[in-house]
Amino acid sequence: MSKTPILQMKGISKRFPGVQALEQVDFDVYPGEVHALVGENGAGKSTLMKILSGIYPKDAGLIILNGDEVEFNDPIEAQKYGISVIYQEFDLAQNLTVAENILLCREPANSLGLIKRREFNRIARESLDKLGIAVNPNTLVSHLKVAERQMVAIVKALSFNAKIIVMDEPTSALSEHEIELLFAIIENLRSRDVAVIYISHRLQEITKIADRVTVLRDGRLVGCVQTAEVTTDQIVAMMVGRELKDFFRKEEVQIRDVVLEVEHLEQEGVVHDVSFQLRAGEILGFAGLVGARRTETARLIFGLDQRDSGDIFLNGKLVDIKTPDDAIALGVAYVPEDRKTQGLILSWTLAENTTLPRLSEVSRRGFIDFRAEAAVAQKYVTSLDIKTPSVQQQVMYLSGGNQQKVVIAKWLMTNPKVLILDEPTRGIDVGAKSEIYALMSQLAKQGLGIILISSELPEILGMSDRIIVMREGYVTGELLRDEATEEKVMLYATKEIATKLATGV
Amino acid sequence: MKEPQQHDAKTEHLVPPPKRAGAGTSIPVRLSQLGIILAFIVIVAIFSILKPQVFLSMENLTNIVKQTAVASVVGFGMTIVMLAGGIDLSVGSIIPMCGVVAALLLAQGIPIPIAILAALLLGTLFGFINGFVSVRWKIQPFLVTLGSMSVARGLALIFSGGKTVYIDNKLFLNIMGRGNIGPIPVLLIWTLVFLVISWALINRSTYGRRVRAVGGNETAARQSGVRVGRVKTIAFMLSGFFAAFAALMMAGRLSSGLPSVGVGMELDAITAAVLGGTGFAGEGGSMIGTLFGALVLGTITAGLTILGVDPYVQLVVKGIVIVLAVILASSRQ
Repeated sequence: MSKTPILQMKGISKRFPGVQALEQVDFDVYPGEVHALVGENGAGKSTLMKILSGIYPKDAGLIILNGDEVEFNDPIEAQKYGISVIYQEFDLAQNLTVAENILLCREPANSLGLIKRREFNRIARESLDKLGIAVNPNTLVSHLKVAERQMVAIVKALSFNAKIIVMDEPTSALSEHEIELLFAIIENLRSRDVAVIYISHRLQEITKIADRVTVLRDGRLVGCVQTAEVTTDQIVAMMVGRELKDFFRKEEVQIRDVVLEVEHLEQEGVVHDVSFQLRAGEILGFAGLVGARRTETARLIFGLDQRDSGDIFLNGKLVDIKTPDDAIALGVAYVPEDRKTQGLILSWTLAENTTLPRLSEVSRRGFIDFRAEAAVAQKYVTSLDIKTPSVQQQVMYLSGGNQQKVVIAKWLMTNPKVLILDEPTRGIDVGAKSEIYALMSQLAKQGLGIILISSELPEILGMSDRIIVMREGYVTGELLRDEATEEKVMLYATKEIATKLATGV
Repeated sequence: MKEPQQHDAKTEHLVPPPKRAGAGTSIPVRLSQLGIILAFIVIVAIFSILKPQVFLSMENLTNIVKQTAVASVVGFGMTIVMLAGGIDLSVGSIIPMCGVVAALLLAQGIPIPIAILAALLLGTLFGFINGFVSVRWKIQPFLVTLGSMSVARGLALIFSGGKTVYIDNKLFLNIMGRGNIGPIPVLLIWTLVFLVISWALINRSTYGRRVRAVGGNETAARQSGVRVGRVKTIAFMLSGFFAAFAALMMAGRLSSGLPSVGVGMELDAITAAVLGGTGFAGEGGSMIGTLFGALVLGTITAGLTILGVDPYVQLVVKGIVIVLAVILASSRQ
């Protein structure tokens, strides 16, 4: 790693109406360095990166690139200087191929404007090979897996001769294996002296992949440290400004009778012979790699998809759940993976979102009682500590953590006996995560049976009383809290499925 | 659905959220924000200045109200369907179908209430079929109603034998189209009745909440236990019902059931809804907006006629106004 930084941001300040988003922040990166940027939501990370990438102008401060002071007026200028950002949504055109995306607007063409096919394919193939990515350049992006799309986005960024690549939450949609591949690519970038700015809430990964980590809090720089010299707890403390004791807030709960029993649940080609029990007061973790079909299993139980065979018992009674409203009426609730597209109606108010599954509670003879609705919503705002100016606030304006709380409030309103949480802390900052864990413990204490589907092993290990591991639609293992370790879970998650091999399916 | 700028709660909104009207509705219906009302006032002002005596006469104004009454009622029904994320192209054909049926029944001496009921049932049933086909086989409403609009018109022609079916039942004509209560035309009363009904349905009832859920985010609605298929089907039934009532109004006004009426009325209804702020992705939903959207269209037509503008030119002007209105509306967002 060279001695002089490729990028120096000095004294950056930025104000928005009503709030100082950044105050005198310093940040630098060396060529070939992986520099992590962490902070709670609202700490200023994305604002800082937006200034770097030319989306926002800064109010004060300097940006020095390769020793020269620069000023970006728009993202295209920033790109010309070699700064590329890869967002969580990956700016790729779904209906074009990988090669077409990489070379978009820069296709090698002859004087008639026709694309020189051979050169086009060669350039695309070379760009992919440079990073060791085994994707066929002629595949449509819409047919790629999320991880593969991300790699294409990286290749595209590099093809603009990016010297600095900003990755925003790169691993949130990736499996463990795919994360390893991504890290290999990042190492490759490192060897080419490309600097990587890595924004993530996953502190475990940061200590693995990053050289330094900069922590922001409330728009200010808290500190910049070598990752080898700090523990994740110390980073967390820097982020929230206080000691976060017992991050996972797991409490002793008396586990009672079986509240949900699933037997031989089957969905052709998707979920195979899944059976398990859930008890009141228990938190049952569902672990597995991406593609394990845990969400699909939950959807079958909740009636979102139709099961081909298998039985579901609630409190010992056989039930036939055909639609979500059947499930809701029987006391099953499902908090989906993606709160923005599945869990909430973003343009609606907090109150409206909260009451949707149980409008009968706040209406009389088919007409809505707005006062009752506001009261119910307020009740949850208070009990879940949802930060919002009012219950009439549109949820699109709430932070991720608070949006997630609204989704949970909505499901709590249905008075569930079984609560299925699918990746409940994805994309949420550390402080809010801890609050949700505390909430889970509280609900377990109240006698709910909770199913926790999560791809974050520390979360599963920290919160579950029992863990069920799945792979490709099969249950491959079950672990009790005391005996569970990351290694054992991974062993089950990658276990060869004997049934599959035996029947040659 | 277009996603407006989002910010963390700590970063204050660059655009402050719009004020909510009434307790707990996320349809931003601050009357002063409805540009269409402003547009209406401006248009009335323009024509009033150009031809004060004729335009501002009682006769003209009542005429405008009567002309737009039918389109308004159809528009309310269309607004409901659009709020559910759909569209109903068959309303312009349901009108002649139901109008003809009512006229035929009255001509046979069937009592008025039965004739009215029959027409309403027919329209509602037709709407049910639209909804059912669309939901059951997962076909875009646009395509289903594109087909059913021909079916309805065909039926109108079949029932009527292609001929006008005259109505001479004075009571019916008075109640449905030609009468007045004091100075107020009956058509206006019906328009207001349906305005209130559709407003209450969308803004105050649980069904209205579900409709807006389906249009706002169908996936989230389904996952929240909303019976999406049922909600959509009922929306089409309502559209059919409203169109059937509009047919009765028109039959009352024209003193006949004409198989040839209603052509293009579905587009007028959609235009009225769009001018009133309702879009194709489930946004909007202001019934008053739809009403003024219809009024704007009707006023422009009336005003241009008074000015002696060629009807073909009128069509061009109408189109330009619509495009301008939509541009204005989206630039405001």
